[in-house]
Amino acid sequence: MSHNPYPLQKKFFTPGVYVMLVFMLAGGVTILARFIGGIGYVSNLTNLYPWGLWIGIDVASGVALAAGGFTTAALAHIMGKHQYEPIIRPALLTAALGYTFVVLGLLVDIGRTWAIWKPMIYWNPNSVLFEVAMCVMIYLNVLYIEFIPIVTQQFKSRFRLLGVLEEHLDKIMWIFIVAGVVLSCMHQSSLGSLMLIAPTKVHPLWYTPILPLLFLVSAIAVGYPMVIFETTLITSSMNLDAEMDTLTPLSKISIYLLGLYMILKIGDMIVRGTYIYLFDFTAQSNAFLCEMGLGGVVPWIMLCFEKIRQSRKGLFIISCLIIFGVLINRINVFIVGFKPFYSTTSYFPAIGEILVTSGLIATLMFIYRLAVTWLPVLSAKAKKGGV
Amino acid sequence: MKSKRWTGVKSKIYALTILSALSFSFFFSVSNGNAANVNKALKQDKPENWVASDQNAAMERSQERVPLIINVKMEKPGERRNRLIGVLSMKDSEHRYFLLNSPIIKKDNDLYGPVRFMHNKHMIVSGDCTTCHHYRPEGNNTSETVRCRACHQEAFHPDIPERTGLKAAYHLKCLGCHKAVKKGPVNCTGCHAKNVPDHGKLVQLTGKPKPSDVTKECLRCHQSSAEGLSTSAHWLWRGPSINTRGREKEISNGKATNTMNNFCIALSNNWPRCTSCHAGYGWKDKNFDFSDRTQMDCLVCHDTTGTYNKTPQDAGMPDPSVDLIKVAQNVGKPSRQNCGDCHFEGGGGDSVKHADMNSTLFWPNRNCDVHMGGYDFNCHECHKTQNHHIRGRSTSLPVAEGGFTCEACHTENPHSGNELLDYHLNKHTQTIACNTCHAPLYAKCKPTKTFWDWSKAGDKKRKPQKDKYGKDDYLWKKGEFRWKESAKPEYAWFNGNVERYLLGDTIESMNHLKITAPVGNFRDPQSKIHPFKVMRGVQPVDPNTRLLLAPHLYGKGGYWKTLDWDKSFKSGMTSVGLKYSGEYTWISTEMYWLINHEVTPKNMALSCATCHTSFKEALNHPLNQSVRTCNRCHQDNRDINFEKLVEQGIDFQLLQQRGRDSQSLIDSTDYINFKALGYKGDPIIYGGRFKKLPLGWKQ
Amino acid sequence: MTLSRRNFFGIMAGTGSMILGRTKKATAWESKAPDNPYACLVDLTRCVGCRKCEEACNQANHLPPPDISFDDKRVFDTKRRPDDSRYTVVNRYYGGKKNEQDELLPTFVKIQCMHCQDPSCVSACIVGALTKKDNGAVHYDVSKCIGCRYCMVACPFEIPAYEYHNPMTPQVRKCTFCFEKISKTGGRPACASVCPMEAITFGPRKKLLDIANKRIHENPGKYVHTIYGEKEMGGTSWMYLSAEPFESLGFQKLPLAPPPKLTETIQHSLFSFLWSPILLYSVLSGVMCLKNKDDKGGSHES
Repeated sequence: MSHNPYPLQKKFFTPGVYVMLVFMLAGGVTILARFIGGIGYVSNLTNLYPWGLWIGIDVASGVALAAGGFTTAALAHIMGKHQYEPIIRPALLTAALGYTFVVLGLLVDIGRTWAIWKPMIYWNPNSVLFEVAMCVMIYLNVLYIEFIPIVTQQFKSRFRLLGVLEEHLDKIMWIFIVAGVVLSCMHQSSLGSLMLIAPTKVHPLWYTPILPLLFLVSAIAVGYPMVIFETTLITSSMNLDAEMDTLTPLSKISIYLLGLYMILKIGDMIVRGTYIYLFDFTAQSNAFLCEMGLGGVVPWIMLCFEKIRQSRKGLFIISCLIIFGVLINRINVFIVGFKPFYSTTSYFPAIGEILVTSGLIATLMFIYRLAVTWLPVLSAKAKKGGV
Repeated sequence: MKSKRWTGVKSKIYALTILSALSFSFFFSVSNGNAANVNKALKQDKPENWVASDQNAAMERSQERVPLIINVKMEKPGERRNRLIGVLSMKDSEHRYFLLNSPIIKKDNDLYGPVRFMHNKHMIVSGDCTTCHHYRPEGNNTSETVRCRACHQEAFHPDIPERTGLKAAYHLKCLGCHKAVKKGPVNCTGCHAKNVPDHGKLVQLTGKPKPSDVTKECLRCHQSSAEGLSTSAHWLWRGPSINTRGREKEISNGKATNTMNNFCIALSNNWPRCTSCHAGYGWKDKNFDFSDRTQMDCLVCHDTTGTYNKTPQDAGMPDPSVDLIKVAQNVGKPSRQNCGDCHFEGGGGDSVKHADMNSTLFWPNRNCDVHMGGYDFNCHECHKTQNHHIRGRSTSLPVAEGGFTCEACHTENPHSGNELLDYHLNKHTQTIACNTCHAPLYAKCKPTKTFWDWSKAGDKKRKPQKDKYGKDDYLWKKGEFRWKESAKPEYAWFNGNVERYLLGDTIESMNHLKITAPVGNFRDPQSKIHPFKVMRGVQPVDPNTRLLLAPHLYGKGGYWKTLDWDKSFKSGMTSVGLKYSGEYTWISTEMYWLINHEVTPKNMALSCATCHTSFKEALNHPLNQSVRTCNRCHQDNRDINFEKLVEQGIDFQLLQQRGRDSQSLIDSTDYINFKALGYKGDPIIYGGRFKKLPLGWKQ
Repeated sequence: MTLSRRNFFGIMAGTGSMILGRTKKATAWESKAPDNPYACLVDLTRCVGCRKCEEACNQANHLPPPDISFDDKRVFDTKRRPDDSRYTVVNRYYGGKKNEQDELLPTFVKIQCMHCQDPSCVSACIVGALTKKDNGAVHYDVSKCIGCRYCMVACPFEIPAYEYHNPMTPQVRKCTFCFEKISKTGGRPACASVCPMEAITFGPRKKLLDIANKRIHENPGKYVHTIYGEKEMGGTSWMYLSAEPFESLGFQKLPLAPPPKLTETIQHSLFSFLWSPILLYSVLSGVMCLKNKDDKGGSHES
């Protein structure tokens, strides 16, 4: 099968883009405020709740949801399933942008933004966070390198040098593709190890020694639904063909991946006996039920029905639910399930934190749109009457 | 005396309006000629040769370092106690008094001043040396008791890590015991005063600040102090009068409202002069705003430079030449200088009013006042202060912000020196106030006014005569005076309550009035015999309203300008909101002033024979065997000189030789006048007030 | 994209066998705790709540003056936590002990960094700004810190505090164990040296454990027979003796294993000598090579 990514070259400024711009502006102003008044000025972070929305969503969820990049790369390039190649580029773009914004989020969140380079010099190999940081940093570079061909393809006619670069790069690209998958596996799992250092603070429903494994499996499981989600979103918003012939088989893999994740999670719960907390009806138990039920069991059952998988709407709902499940899992582990012993209040993000996060997400979407408009990312054909 | 009270809503307004009454006398100048000099600060620099002997010796002991004892003999507490009972006694105590101020404690932190530790008192109270001396050094010939710091030195000693350092040893032992027996202080400032931090950098004042600017700067950190002072007697000059009979529940009596005396009589319309001793700025008329805390005068009490002065007759404002910034940067705890500057000068001059307080107490001799002279006490060490409310009561003023007694420190059984005498002396404390024996004279070194006749005032032609102390007997502004130095107190039963005439009370007998008188009697077990200075005077009264008159003396329209009593009374009484019928006459008055200071050490206290005639007789007739001293009860077969025992104490002859006016007291007996107090005679012969047992005496 | 099968298998066989052989050794976790560091023993039965330690700490570390003065006992009405302006606080608890008058007796509890033997924060710190010194102090080096606050997440005692209102150069603030002072001979922490009751005893940890055991042994009715901090979280340099159950005095019941044991075991068994990434890399390259061998030279772009 053949696919030909091409710049959409569509009208860029739509009402949706203006909404994004508003969010971006609000986020920008808040970030400015953070760098004038300090983190405490715009956030509800305290000594007992040092990590909040920015880490829980911008970083942890951001990394998880950018998993589409390495899972599709693994599927298409490594496993040789070339039929999935049309979705590689959008997934790659999402991953590159996702990780970029993980870093941007971190720049806002860490107290000494200007010192972010220091882990490159001062190493603490015992630190899980150090490993995550190193992987994210290298992987971000890998993603950029993988992204180069998209740029060169577009501009090589104008700049000859780019063509040369493309040729040389192509020969060693396999190194980066494999490296990308390895690095992803490493830090996706390590992201789960992060909270293992705080056994007294993380609620037992989530605190388990296999947390890194769960994080890795869930990241892999959410990779394809994420691709489905964003492809559906962009094709429908850009009025393109739905690429269902690629997406439906992709969803079939998710049955096994999501199934594995569910088995691990439920098995872990049974082994550790934490089901006793299930029906406490505290914020934690509710959040856990929500995560498992709505974000795990329901979409898995839906996946088993061929009919739903083949309908564009059904597939979209399934992927939404799975993404929701993983997203809520990350939020649960980092925010909802995080209950310090001495806390008298619970954490809820401040307006400032929400504005920064929404601003960053808006920017992410904005740039994605910018990229698909001007760079050869998407291969979907326009619907009848399209371009 | 019955009180005629203005009532209703107006009373509160009047209460403020009448701020005048009392302090008139307190702060009045003695002479008129050089008024500017009169109110000049009394404060004195420390004389070069002045040393508080007991304090100094204790301080030197406290600085000694002793070699550390590493090994101690481990004994069980009970065993040790049993072994040492009867072996150790009071006699083994080398020193009565210690200062806990070792450099070991001050090595890391110096937050508090030294602790005064009354070793003998603790021996008596605990009755068990092993309570504190819990171990002894190892070895056979070692001392059973060693100083705390012989074993306890630096904390966390590497060789003896389980043994506490000296500071913790003190605190654990002291607090542990105080808590266990529920006696003695358990808070930090109960034992030692907190060091005042250097205010040199803390005080942020520049230029030439106004007095109220200084106060604002103080309040920046010391809000709560202002809060406390705002309800205190030193600020309001009035307050609750729980010890004034019939007025126990009133809360607004005092100089500012209604107290009177037979010195300068009352505050009435005489503000700027009287209030130059107020701990505030600008109380120049009845409209002074007591809610304005920026007008509080912090410096007058907290100056440590000795340079702060208030201008006389300027309603409490400081002398413009005072460098307020320098004073503010050197604030500290009040000393005798700060308190004495006002309180030694009551009545308008040094020693005029209070029998027992005058400028000699700035740097007194040990014999003059053993606390201040021997142990360098500052006023606030007894007059403990909480939230700027200062403990202590006087008979002359109704305001009381808490009281204290000698017994609070010295216990009910304070005599621990000579074992033979102790028992008898300690029995005396049930009947006799400490100062009855320990302040046998008042105004010991400076004459005080004992009589003041206002009716003679106004004769500008009369020439004042000097009395034997060199004091004027007359002043046209004020009338006729009498002075007395080394005066013998008058003794009366006193249970702590005072009968008091207050402004507006109706006088019953027009012949004589006791403005203050102690409450108490022979039959009242709560009453003890106390020494008093009795101030006698003649002062104006309205024969129709039967009210003591409060004159307007100072300033425009005052008596000293007009020499017109009628106008003066009209103005004065109007200012306090009382009626003046237009007629006045003169009444003789008495005021009882309790003697609390000038406490002498034991060698200067009254001897047994000074009061007990039966002893005196034996001393006067040494050959007559029928007249007996202690051998009246005790078999005289011990190697003790009973005669010497009953005679030891104050020697009026010696005092006279040293230039004191004590001639008339030499060889006196029945000093406190037993019959006048209600006894049949010497209690040794006739029995005490509750025990009717004559001691070994046959008619 | 080209990949020669021969090359690939060569690499895989070489690295794989080499690394697998070495990982076994690296997986056993070993405590890095100093053998006998300095420590402090807090005897809660001695503390009278004078807050002199708070004051001394404030001065020793040049912290800002407190909102409520150190003499003011009203602060005990709330439970306070250490923060960036105070490295130690004393809280008052009514654990249930009563006096003869049936009044509840207060117990005062000083809180500060426990200076764990195997500190979570040290293990967590991304740049190694936090280190456990041989003298016992868990030391913070601001010049390395990036402000990620992972130490605060990690600390089981919830101690490190952050300067949230400093926009560019915020620091993690916590008790320093007066590191500079105790590094010199004869030096002791400010709080311990000021304590009027010697409620804080400073000395070598083993010696303090002896003292603590001795006190319990000599006063069996006075103390609960536990030394808090002896074993909790792998042991701490600050330890407590109490007359009342620690749970009633705001102490958390904590596991005995130091949290770094789990995380570092996972980290090192997975990543020491990077064996697993290299192995995974090799396997994936192999799979890629095999799967794409039909595509003429492995090129996937058409």
